[in-house]
Amino acid sequence: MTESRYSVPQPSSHSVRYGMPFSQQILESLENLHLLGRRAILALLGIAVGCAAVVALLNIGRNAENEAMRIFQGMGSEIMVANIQRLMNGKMNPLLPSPNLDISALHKTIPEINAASVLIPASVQVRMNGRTDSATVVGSSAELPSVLGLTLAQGRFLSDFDGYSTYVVLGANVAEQLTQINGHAVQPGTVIQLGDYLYQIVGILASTGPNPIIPLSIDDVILMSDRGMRRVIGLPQIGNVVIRSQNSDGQEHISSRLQAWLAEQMPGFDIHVQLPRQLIEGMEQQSRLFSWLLTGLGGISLLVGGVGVMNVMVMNVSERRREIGVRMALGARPRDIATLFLLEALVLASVGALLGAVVGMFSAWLFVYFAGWSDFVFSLTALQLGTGSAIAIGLFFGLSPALSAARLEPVDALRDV
Amino acid sequence: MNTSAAELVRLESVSHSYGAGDSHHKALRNVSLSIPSGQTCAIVGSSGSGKSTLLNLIGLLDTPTTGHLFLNGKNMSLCSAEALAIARNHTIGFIFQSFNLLPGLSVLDNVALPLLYRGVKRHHAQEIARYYVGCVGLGDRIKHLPADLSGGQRQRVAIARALVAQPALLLADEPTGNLDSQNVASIIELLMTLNDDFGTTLIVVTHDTSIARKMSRCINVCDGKINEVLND
Repeated sequence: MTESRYSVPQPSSHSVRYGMPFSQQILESLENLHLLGRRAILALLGIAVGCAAVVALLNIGRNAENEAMRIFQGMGSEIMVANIQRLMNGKMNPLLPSPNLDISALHKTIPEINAASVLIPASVQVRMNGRTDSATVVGSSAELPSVLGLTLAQGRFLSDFDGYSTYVVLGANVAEQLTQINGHAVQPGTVIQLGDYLYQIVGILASTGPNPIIPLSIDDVILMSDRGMRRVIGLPQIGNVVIRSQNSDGQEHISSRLQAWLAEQMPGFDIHVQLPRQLIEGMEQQSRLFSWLLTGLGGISLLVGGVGVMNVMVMNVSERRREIGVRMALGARPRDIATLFLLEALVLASVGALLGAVVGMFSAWLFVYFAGWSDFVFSLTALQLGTGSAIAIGLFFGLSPALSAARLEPVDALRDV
Repeated sequence: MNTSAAELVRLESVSHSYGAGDSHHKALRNVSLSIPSGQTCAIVGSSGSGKSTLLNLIGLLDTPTTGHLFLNGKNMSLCSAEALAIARNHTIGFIFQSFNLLPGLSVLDNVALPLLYRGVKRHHAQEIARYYVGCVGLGDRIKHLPADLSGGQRQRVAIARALVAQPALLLADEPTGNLDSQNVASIIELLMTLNDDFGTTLIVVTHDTSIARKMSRCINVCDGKINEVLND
């Protein structure tokens, strides 16, 4: 100590605010976590798994919703479906067929309707090439392709003049199955036996994919004229009436008029007209509920991760008791000690959240890829909610150990235990 | 003893007790004491006599159960934990028997720590710390961790850390208790030089009578009470 006091480097002026600079505090917490080593990684893993679960599940939920919406969008919002059921307590004889509907009269009553068709489903035995199989036959009107946007791969569709004739049109999948049974391709002109009658195939439809608004898949049925259904089953019952309106405006108005007309034409039947929008809304509600359930699941894993953080921080505080005392002796205020440990918990949770976000996004992408869904939709909400709640959980569970450290008396912290 | 010097520490009928109820133990009984600035003072006494308690109270690490403690004329008994922390940082340097260096920090970072709490930028704090590490003769060890140093070297680092904030009061709790005789002599010499050069007030708790004899004043603590032992 030979130098005079004046050559000693002096701390800068008194105007400096008391307390460690924030950058220094961050640096310290990083260094301390590095010293914690494997234990920090374990706590971090808990948070990462929780965050990954939230991010992945929310993202998958979002993608599932998107996929469902995509299917709905294909069918167009101008389509409307009336579900028809016989009232069981009515005075009508249940052994009577449902009345024939005059589609041309419907066009006159509601001119906004572009095309309409009944759907009369029935199960039937198909015989071909000496083998028997069962199939669904649907009686429909000539306008069905216009209503559902069907296109023909081969031949023609049924016309109004096919009334009672023995002509059928095959859905794409049915045609494929019959080809396998037949040994060679079925085509217009091929004859098949349905029940007790022989029918001639006049057309084969192109594949349409599933349409969730109607209760059957057109690809999987054999279509024939509604009037000819009497030949297949004794009591043909109209299951649905599908219509397409000119545009998507005034749907409610059209649906109520359709309801009224059908009720008038078909007394003793329960008629319920459904709009695609209602279906979409129901579906959205369902997928939202699903999303929340998944989020809850992710939240529980996050909570478990938070307990892991708390565990590490409690251990950390009790092991570094003496260090806390030394820091207090050197001038650390209670709030400096609290910040020290809170920042450590925060850094721990943030790194875990970041890791979890990456893993969660990747696993959601993997899921969507292997589920064969159209394309991956990145959900920003999932990312924000996942990382945000992970960091909040880390802070929440880090708070109590940090405060207990700050509340230590310096003399107690320095004492040997 | 220079009675005209400004008074740095003053205790007014201070008592301190641990625990409550039946396990209640009185460590200090009605102690009054005044230490002027620039004095060297030894506190001696047998184990459990209350000398460490006295040092903890002077060092603002503990608060008296009754009575008042004045530091630089300010009544510290009325201060918040935060104000006490700031006062410790600005006025007091601690030297512990077991060194109490932070094991994860390098020598330089250990010494710079009090300045960082004061709000000095890291770069600047390290510059000052480097000077003090040089002063205690460890200029070539600044990057080492405390675990890589010998006991004597660690205590020198601890002294540098106590000095870096340029405290008016240096408190040493058996600073040589864990050192061999050769290191004891050099550490004590270092502390005495500080008192000579900077006028730093020095309070040392010790068992070693040879150290106590070097101080200008010696206080014997016995069963919670103090009495002055006059040094020759």
